[in-house]
Amino acid sequence: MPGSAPSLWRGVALLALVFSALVPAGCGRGEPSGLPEGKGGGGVFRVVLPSEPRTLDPNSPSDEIALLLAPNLYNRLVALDMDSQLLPDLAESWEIGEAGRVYTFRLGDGIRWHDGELFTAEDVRWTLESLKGRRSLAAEAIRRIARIETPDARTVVIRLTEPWAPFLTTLAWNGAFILPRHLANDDPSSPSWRPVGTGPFKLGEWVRGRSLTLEANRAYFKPGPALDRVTYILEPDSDEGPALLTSGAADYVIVRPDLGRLPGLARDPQLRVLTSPGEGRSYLAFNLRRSPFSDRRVREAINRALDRPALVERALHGYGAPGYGFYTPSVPWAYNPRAVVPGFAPGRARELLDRAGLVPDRRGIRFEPQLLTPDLGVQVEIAREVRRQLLEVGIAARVEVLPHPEWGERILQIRDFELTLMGGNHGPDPENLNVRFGSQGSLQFMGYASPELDATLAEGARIPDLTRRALAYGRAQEILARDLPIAPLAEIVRVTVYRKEVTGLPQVEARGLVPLFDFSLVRVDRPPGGAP
Amino acid sequence: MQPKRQGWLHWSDWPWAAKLALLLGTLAIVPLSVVTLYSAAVARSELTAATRAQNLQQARNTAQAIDRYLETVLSDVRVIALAPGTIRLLSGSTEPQLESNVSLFLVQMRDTHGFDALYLTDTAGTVRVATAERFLGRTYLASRWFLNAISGNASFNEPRWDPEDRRVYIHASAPVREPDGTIVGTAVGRISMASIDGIIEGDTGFAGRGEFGVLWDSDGIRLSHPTRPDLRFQAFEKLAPDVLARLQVEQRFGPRTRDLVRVTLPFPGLVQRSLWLLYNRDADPHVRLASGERVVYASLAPLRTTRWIYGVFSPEEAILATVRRQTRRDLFLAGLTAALAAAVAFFAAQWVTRPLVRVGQAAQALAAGDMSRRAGLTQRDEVGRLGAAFDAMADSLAAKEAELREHADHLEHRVERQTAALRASEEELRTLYQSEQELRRKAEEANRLKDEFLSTVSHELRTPLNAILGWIWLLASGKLDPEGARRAFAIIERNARAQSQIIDDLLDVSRIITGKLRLKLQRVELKQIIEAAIEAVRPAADAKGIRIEYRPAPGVPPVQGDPDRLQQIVWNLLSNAVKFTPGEGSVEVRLERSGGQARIQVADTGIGIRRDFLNYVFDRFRQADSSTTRAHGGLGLGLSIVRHLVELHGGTARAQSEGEGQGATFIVEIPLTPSLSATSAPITPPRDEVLLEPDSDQELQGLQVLLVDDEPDVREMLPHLLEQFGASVRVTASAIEALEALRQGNVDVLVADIGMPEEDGYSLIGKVRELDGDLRDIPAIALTAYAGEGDRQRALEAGFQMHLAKPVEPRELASAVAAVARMAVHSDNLSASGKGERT
Repeated sequence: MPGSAPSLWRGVALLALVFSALVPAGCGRGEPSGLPEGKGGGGVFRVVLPSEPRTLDPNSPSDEIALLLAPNLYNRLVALDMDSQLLPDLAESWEIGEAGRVYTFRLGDGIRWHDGELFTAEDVRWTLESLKGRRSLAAEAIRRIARIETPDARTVVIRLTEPWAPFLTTLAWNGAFILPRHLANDDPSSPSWRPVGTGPFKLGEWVRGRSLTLEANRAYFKPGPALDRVTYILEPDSDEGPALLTSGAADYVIVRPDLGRLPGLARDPQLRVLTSPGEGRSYLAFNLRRSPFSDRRVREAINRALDRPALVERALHGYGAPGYGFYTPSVPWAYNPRAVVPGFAPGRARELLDRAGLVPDRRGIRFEPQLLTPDLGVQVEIAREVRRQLLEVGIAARVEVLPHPEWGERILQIRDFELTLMGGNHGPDPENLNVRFGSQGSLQFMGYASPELDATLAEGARIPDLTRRALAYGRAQEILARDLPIAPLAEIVRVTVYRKEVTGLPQVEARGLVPLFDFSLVRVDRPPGGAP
Repeated sequence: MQPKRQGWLHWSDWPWAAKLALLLGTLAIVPLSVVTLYSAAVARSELTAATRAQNLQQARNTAQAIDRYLETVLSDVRVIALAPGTIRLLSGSTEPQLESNVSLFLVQMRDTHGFDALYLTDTAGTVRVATAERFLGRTYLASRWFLNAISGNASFNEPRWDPEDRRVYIHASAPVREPDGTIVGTAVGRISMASIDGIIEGDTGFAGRGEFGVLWDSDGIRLSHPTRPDLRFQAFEKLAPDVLARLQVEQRFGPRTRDLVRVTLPFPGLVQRSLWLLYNRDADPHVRLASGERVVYASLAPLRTTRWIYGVFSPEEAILATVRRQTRRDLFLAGLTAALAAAVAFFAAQWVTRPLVRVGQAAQALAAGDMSRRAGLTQRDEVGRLGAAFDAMADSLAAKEAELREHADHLEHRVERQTAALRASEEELRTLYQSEQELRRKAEEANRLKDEFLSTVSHELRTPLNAILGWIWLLASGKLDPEGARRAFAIIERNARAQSQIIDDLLDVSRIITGKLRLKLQRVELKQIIEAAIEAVRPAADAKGIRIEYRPAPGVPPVQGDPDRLQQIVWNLLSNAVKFTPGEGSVEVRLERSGGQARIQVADTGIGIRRDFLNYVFDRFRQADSSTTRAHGGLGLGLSIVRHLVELHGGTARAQSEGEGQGATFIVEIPLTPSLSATSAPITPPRDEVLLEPDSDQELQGLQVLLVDDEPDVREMLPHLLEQFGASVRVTASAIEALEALRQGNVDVLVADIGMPEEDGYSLIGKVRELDGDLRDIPAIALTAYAGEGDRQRALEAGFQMHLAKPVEPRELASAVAAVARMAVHSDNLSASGKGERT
């Protein structure tokens, strides 16, 4: 049988090949499985939003509601998780060089805008450059950018005018969402304008005054979105939000409900109430330009007149800590527990007021300052409690509740006020002290200017070493405790209320994986035929 | 003949022993090695999977134990927070003894529940009551546990260094609320890391392959690592600079915080995986981690109470070591088995082929003219019988050759004598020459038959041998499970039996060809014979699910025959029917009397027979087509043997089928009366008997006989036979040729076959009787295998004077020819008056 020899060997070789193909090639790699890599399918997430965003421009400083949506539509170079730890976002890695003067970002590969265009380093450069000179929450970081280089489509090199330690956290915070350069000429105020980002969701239907829907971006470059869509239900009535949750018409309330309702909500088996220390604080700000608040004795008297634990119990129903210091203890490394207000002493307060010439009239009233507060539930309750406590030492504050935007305009632009309640987040970096107390700070509306404080804060921002930064900020808090430009009131808790079908919220399961308000890992496992 | 190749390079030139040894060796070593390597890989992945599963269970159990412990701790703290005394105290009640009562309560809780310390703070974070004096008045406003509790959360907190007690503690804290929900303070219990270590150290259910358990937090910092206590508070991978800096500024772990800078035994990727697992507890809990050269499998279990993860780690090396040992042993065994298989194959093949080689060598020598060579096999197995058959054939050839030689000698002698006598007559010389030519042709024909026979035998013997060897290889490979081995043995046995059958058939055919088949005649009851044959094929039929129905008609008288051969006939027909009938079919056997014949009918529901093949089913080495040959195997000798045996019994065999897929029916008829010998031909009518008295050897002297038969054997045999009786014979192979020969004239008697291709004997005689002149009255004998009474009638009606059944005894034929020749003379005398009546 001539010719059969080669075919025999071919057969043997083939046999060996077949067998070898059966041998499993290696074992498991390191890839996590069971993650929402498959885009969509995780249901609809209904979120109660207190009011309508004016625009969807994520970098506008005057549109706080837009900021709550922005992480779902856009990305930043880097982001922060709810514990204020840096997360990679558009940049998958970064390096800091030349003693904190040069930041080199390596961008992710194959990221596309919602319209399909490829995202490149040029988009980053254009966005940051066009933010220059504009008011923005990231203005302090933008202001310090000397030059932006893009050696290739995936590399951005940012050179600062000076080393500035809070640079990354500031960019990661708010106000520096990256926008598409190829749509530079689009006017966000035009009715046909639609936001185009790189985020996990795209804008769907927007029924003005009622709801706004985001649709899953199935080409998202990170895990998720697990959801099919997010529907923001516009509900300005702060009582209605929890009601929608209980009735099953909504899954999550983005703004904290009245604290007094929390014990009730916590008892609802359909809901989950998650409370945690937040970086938000509440304080009473003095207009130092006006008498009698320009007098430190008056400020000390008011500080000594305030029984903060009582305020926390009565106004915050105990959900919160008394505010004695000048920074949030939720950023422990920067908080100086020794820089605190003078102790509660109504007698001493009266004495100080007497000395300042503010003597009681026959009704026992020394003076009647105006006390502004925005129309946010918790602030109004705090204002009432402050009024009650100040009355004890003869100060009869006239509480004036203003709509939030109008209140902002009054204190930030017109600066027509005597006392006002002020709140807000103090994280993620103690650079926030500069914003709130620096003579040039964007939230420093009190008329406070301390060259000593400015210098100390500048030092804290300049030094990359965290221990030395902590020392500088500790010193800054001591200066504030001495000058008392405000009366700190309370540390406010962060409250998350959501239905039990919801998983993957940034505060809960997705903690450490995505920034706050980013719903890319959220899933809603609604039982079939369940809630109405 | 193929061109001679040089050396042993070509595969087909190798001796079978070497081929088999190489093949079997290769076939054993390749799959064995592959299987060994494959099973090593499988074992490795199975062991890995098993280790992972066990580790996961272990991890989950321990995580659960830690969870249970932490939950107990937390619920203890909650109990304290819910105690009415606690609430009253923190709400500012000034009852006497309240503070000391609460304090006593805390001390009791501490001592009975394993706390390090317990205390209560007011909303400003100042300790109001504690289990030890030194805590009183301390302010924990900036503590995470305080902030958590005052936020309304009952929770566990990350381990923290207590600068005053100079140790790391874990705090469980819960808010103290008034009935309306207002928070008036916090209750705190702290435990030391040792209490968690205790739980993990108690985790002893490891498989013993170097497993170890580690507890870490969501930053990837090891909290408990009983086997390496030095790694506590060290990170699994490099911490982000901002995280590291923050932990250091906080002095989270006291002086040990600075250890976080260096990462000993890093496991990159573990932290991210931990975070994902905290996100989705259904995510894959297994991870393979590489730390430099070291690879470990980790099975992770996130805790429910806190964002901690407990993992059980297995070094890959420990898992692989077990598998490697096993694989080395298996490979050695595979090599040994292959060598053994090659050796066994070599010797087995030698053992099998050696006698065949001897037969082959003998055949070669025979072909080369050495008539003295014989296979000379002494064994009695199939090959031995083949050798014996071959030797018998060689004997016969040698005898013929000797005869030829003798004849030639004789011829030479005569030529010499005649030369000496100067000249022989030209006629005699020609006769001698013709005779010599005839003998040579016979010798050549015998030689050709021998070649054909050998090649067929060789081919047919290899077919089952292939199957046998194939399955032996598979058996030798050790790959077959017991069921497979059982099947292999069955197949080998079946093929061995088939081969044995083939050899038996060959021997029969050889006997038939050489005319050595002898019948041992006796009275035989066909009913019993058929029953015995059915019993013999029943296992095969049952195996295929074929039903055999036997319907013997009552009162069929015995026949004269050889019981063994008769049974062989029936057996052959039955096994043929079973072979060609698909499963669930049926075979029906009938025995009945048909005139003077016993008729055995075997009908099946099998694949049937093509109409154009019906005439050939009884031919030697014929099967319907090559594909049938492959599907059903066999030499195709069975039916040819049947025909020969039936004919030896004076009977007939024929096949009927409506076509392919229509089943087939084989009918064998054996004469009932004692009828085998030439002295009593059963089909010859009694009135002819007087005419058939033979008178002398030369009774046909001068008669011209025209013979028509499509079978060359007949055409060859009959002329010789008739010439013995003095007739001269002309031979034609078809009806057309015969008519042509008749027209040429000079024919006294026509002897014609009936079953012929194209034009049969009936048609021929019809045309003959239509011819002009005397030719149409030529006496004619039908000499045919169609031997039934009906056939006889039909032949006579068609115009034959006489009907003779094949096979025919020479003397019988001679008498018949003589008789019809005489009848012709007689009828010629009557022709004037008889013609009109005949037409």
